[in-house]
Amino acid sequence: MDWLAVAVTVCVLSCLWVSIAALRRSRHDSAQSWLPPELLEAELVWSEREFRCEHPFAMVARVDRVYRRPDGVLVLVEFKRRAVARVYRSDIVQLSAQRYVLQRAASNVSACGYIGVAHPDGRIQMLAVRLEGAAKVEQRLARMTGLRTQGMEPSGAIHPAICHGCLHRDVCKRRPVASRGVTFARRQSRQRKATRS
Amino acid sequence: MPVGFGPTRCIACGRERILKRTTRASHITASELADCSVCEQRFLFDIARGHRRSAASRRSMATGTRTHAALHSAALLEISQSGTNGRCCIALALWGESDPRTRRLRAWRDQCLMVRGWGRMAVRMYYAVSPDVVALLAGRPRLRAALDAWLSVVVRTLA
Repeated sequence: MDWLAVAVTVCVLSCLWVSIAALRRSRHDSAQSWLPPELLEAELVWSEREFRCEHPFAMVARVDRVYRRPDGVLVLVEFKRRAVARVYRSDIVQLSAQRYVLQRAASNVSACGYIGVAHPDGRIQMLAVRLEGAAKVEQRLARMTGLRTQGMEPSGAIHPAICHGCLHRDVCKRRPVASRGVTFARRQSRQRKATRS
Repeated sequence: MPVGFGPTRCIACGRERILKRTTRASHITASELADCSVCEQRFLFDIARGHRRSAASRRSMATGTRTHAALHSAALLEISQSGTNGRCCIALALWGESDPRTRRLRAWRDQCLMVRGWGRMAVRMYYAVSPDVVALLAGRPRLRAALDAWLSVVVRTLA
């Protein structure tokens, strides 16, 4: 009788173990399904990891995910929760800054990154973006430093929609630079079409 | 050319004042650079007057944080299954890889548990359970804090 109880317990535990393993495998597979073909063979090396650099600019960047391709090149992924699969200029600037910092820690970082748009229904869509070079990032950093410490004249928002949701409107006198935002969106749309074709 | 925050003329009130730091001292963050590219004026207002975001914006930021936490726990699970980092999954999720507590727990596992039969079995059980615990911790800051406090005490005892 005792042996029977032991056998039943072992069977139940084995079933439980197998179902947990299957559940975990399916979760892992579903987690992988949204990855672009370039990253299917890549290894995930870091998640939510902070990197710093001190020269020529003191910078800190927290990367969402970094994958290592089989050829050793690191690829950056940044997640954004949005209802529409769209890349904004700020996403590219952020990812380029992350690449700039990561390049000082690990030399081989891809010039292409991915914006993972997490939709409210749980889907994740990966959009490939071409990142800005180190010179452009340094130019932005110099501009930012000038704005903060040298009293340079700031420009307005890149799109009127940014002003609508801004809570500094009561003191702000600037007008948005609409054309820049529209141009950027058009350029992005053209790039995506070119990538698809 | 490190960037520092010194006395600067405030755009909002026009007076000379020390600008408030919004992030880590003396380091520019990638997010700040992205904010600055969207609207330079808003970026300076954020420094001078503090971050002002609408209720909808705050809600969407909170949702984004939860999404990030869930994706991070899934990533930790994937990293732990790749077997390249010693698979200290819970400690990794709580404290990160470079934390001395994580290293101490790993040393305890390697020096005390892995040399005994029952210890190896306990480690195998821990590996089986810990990814699910990490998934459970995502988006539950109270549970995370409680586990953090308890495990810190355990690590201190081990030391």
